[in-house]
Amino acid sequence: MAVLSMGGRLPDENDLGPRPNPQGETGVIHDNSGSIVGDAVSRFGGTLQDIGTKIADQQDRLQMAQARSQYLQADVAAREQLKDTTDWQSMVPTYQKTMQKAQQEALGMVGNKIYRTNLQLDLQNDFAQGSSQVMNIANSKRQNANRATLSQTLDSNRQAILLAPDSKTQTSLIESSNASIDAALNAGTISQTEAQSIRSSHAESIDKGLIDMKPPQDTKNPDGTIVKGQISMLQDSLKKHDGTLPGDHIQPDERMDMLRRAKTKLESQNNGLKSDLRADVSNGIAVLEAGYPLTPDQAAKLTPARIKAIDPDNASEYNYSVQQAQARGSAINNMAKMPVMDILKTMNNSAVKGASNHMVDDERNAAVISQAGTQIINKLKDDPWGFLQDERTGSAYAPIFKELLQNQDPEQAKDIATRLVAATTQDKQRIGLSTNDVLPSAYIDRIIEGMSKVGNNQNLAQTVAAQAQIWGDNWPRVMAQMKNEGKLSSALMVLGQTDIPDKARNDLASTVLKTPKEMEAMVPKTPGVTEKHSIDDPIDTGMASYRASMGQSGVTDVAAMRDAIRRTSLVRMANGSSAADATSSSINDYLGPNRLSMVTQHSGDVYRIPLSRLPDHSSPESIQDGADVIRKNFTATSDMIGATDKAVKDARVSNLTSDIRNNGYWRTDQDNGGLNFFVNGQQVRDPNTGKPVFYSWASLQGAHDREITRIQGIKKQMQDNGPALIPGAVNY
Amino acid sequence: MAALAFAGAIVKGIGMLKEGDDASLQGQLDAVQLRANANNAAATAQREAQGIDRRTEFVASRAQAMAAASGGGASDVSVVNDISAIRSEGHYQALTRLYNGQVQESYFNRAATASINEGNAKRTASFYSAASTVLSEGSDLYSKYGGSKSPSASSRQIAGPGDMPSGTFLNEKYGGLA
Repeated sequence: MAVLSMGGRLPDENDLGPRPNPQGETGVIHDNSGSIVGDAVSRFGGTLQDIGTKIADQQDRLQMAQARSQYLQADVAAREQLKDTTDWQSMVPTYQKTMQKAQQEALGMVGNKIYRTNLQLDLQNDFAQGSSQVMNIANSKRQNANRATLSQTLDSNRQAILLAPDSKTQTSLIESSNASIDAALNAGTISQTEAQSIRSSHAESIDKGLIDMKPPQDTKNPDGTIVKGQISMLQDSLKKHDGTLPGDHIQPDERMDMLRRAKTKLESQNNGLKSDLRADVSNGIAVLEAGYPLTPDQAAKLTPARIKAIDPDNASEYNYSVQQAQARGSAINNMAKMPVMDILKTMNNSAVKGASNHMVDDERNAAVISQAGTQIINKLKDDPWGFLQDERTGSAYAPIFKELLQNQDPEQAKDIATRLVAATTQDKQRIGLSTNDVLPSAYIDRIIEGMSKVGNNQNLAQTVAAQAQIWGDNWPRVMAQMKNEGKLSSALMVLGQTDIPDKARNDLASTVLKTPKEMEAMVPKTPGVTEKHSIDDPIDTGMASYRASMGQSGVTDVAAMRDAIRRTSLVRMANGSSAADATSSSINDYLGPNRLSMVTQHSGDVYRIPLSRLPDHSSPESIQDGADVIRKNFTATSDMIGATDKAVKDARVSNLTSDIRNNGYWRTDQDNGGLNFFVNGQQVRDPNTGKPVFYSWASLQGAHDREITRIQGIKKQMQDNGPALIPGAVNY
Repeated sequence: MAALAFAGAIVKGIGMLKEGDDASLQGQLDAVQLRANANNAAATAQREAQGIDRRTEFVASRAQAMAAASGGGASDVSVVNDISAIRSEGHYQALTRLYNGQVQESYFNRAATASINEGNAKRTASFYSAASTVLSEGSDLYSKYGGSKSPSASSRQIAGPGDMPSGTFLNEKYGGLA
């Protein structure tokens, strides 16, 4: 330090204060980022490992569960297989062999050693338990088999002892029985007590069997066993064997009781046979008097030989009753094939006319035939088609109807349907049924039900078309029956007509399931374009001729046709057609010249000719010509006139003929099958049959053809002989 | 239900990723603070070093002035030595202070870097955690619902080496496989 002369001190470096100490790195920075990522990656790896371990473990568990399940299923199957086997000896080996294989298969399914070991322990336990249970079952079967064998042996021995020809054989058989019982005892199949009991009952059954044998006088009975000689021989041999007779083993009072029981049993058997015979005769008569044939079994019970064998005292009475019943049955069977009037005649003929030597039989005949006839008539009235299925009627239709119901082949359906309609027609004629029906109502219901179940318009059209295809030419008659029974909707009535163009059919079919309200909603209402009158008016106008041809009785058909045309028109309008085009095309499809030919007659009346119904080579023109020829040549007869005075009658006949020829007119029948003939609003009746005059299309064509032939004959005569030879002849 | 559980796992995973992002952001925020601290330390040291310099100059000047006032020569050896010692000491102290400031600055900077690294590491770790969660949950769900195929004939076959997950633990378990 420098000291100043005046005593002061110069400032030195100490005046700068204490030295700051250099500070080294006091803190250590820890960058844990590496360990953080490392830990995370490590945990991630751990997770992956856990997942892998878990998956592997689950797979192991699954394999083990599947293996165990498979083994248990095999166990159940193996036991099921052995359930009904009678070969008890092979049960356990078979089971064990099967289950060892199943065990190996199950173990092979598990990959994990630990689980496999665990499973093996489980399966070994299962195997042991299963073997034990199967062994118990086998043992039980063995005992049962042994018991059955013992029982069978003893029974066989008993039979053999009873029929043995000598005592040596009997002794041998008895020893055999005892040996069998001893063997069963030693095998543990039966206990000592059971063995003793079996021995006693076996001996007793042999004794009772000997006594229970029927005496010689009963051996004619079919159930008889042996003859007296055999019994004596057996008794002798038994006596030689042990010095006693079988009966000696039974107390006297029990022997008496057994004898009484045997007699009672014989009487009971005889009474039972007679009682059964009475019932057989009674049942057979009931069947015959109903008009049915006896079955072979019934007939076999009523043979005179059998009746005489069972009840000789009453045999002649039984046989007579059966003969009488057969005669009545034949008459009733015939009645079932007759028209009602003939049935009534038969009933009347069978009525008792007066006293006779066979009064009782006559009254019985009358009562039975009257009752059966009444039943038949009532059935014909209530359900003729149902009655025709009765075998007595010999119906032609019933077997074909059955065939139709069972038929599944569409190819055969048409053939069956054709034969069915022919058969129903034949049956109707035979029993005088006046109905126009071609099919039983029940089957009509079935067809309609089939159509009703179709929930899809396209399918409905196809279904109707398919039915039309099946019934072919008879389809209009089937349709008419459905219509007459009021079971067809208006749209279906039209849809079922086969001659409607496909486009119209499809359009109509698409609306069948729609309500009128839904129909109206199909076309938006546009004033002046789709107003109600813009659709209805042209339809009504276009249908005028058709409506006129249908007459008053065709109101329903007209309404149905109008509805169909209207529905079709609305469909077409919904598809973009104008009201005029839609109605015009619809009317043309349903009522146009391609389908119907409308004929306006001199009287102004209109009839229609459906082209599809005309015979081959026919035309509307030829039909119309035929109808005109018939009209112009129709001649009334005096039968059609009520007057009695001849002059008056002749005059009226002439007037009527003239009136018919000039004013007669035709009208198509409802079924489109032909033309009915009218005059002055009345249907003209055939003078010969009294029935309304009706000409089918074929007969109208025939009239036309005959007229052509006649004209050609005239022409030929004219060519051959000259017109002068035929006065009044017209040169055609 | 399975889909719901798996969706839960996804949400949980997303939460973990969010936590990672947050940790990363926090690391960056901490780093900003630490770098500020580093700058402050450096600036403070610089200012204090300058203060030491001024004080050194002041003491040295005062010593020269007092030497001159006392009649002694200002260029006297002892005075010169004295002033030289003052300057040396002052320089030493200023440098020491600067050094200490640099040490602090370096410390804070490294702390900042570590903070950023840790934040980024946490974010990276969150990816692995999220993946672990989703995989783990997905694995559970697959075990419960994904394996809906009924045990078929093929599943009953003995698994071959190709069917087995790899890993030593598997070798221990499946060592006896044919």
